[in-house]
Amino acid sequence: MIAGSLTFEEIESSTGRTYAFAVFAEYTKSGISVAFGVFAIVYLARRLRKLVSAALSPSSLEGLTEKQSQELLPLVRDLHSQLVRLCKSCPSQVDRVPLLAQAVSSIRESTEELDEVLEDLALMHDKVFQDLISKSIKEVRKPAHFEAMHH
Amino acid sequence: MLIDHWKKDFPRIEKDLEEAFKSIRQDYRKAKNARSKPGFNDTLFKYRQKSTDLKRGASYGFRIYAYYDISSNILYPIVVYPKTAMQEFDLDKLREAVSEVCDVVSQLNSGSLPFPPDESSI
Repeated sequence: MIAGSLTFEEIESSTGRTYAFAVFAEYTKSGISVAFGVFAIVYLARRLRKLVSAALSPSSLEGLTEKQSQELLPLVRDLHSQLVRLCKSCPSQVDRVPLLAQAVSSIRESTEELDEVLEDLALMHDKVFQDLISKSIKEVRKPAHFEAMHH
Repeated sequence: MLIDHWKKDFPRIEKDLEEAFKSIRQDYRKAKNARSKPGFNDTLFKYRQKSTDLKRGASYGFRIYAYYDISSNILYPIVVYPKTAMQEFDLDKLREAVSEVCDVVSQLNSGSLPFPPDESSI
């Protein structure tokens, strides 16, 4: 099954591996060594940027079937929850280390993007929502007294 | 149209949305964190606009859903809401909002509501 230029299996495994790494990053943060913890957070930030801009981008999601999007949804939700937990547990001292501060900020941005992905997965095959949009557009197109935006 | 509803909490909403639509007019595909919603053939877009009343980034501002009509090259804003009103995505709430907008527009078209509608008539 092709979804954009990636197969569903590729999207799923990339998301799954990132989730596993996010769990690992939280674990390293509370133990092992500081250097290893920093590396894990920085690497996670890079990995997440890549995930949201490629495997979970709107063009990749576009080709998913309803079944596939439903399968992917809990995995993305788990990843999102894990990242929210990770960001919340980051001590305020990270701001003193530019490399870490930048990585944590990037993880926060990616978490926000994942919010959008969750929404996309819920909406893309929702017949009720699609019908409502079609109905609204038909109504809005009718009169001349609504201010539409000519591009 | 439903801006008055949010005006109490966001007095500068009109100015903020004006700024958003000015940018969107210039590049509807990239402006204001534009995201084409999958499943809608590149016609449904979502935008983020910061609220000057909140004095925080776009993450805490407004969300705008708009439909792009390819044939007429017109972008129709459908729903605008502050992120604070829906911190976590709620499909039922979004359906309800679109449905309400649809009903209001439909009533306006049929002439059963005055234009512009007042708050009590919505």
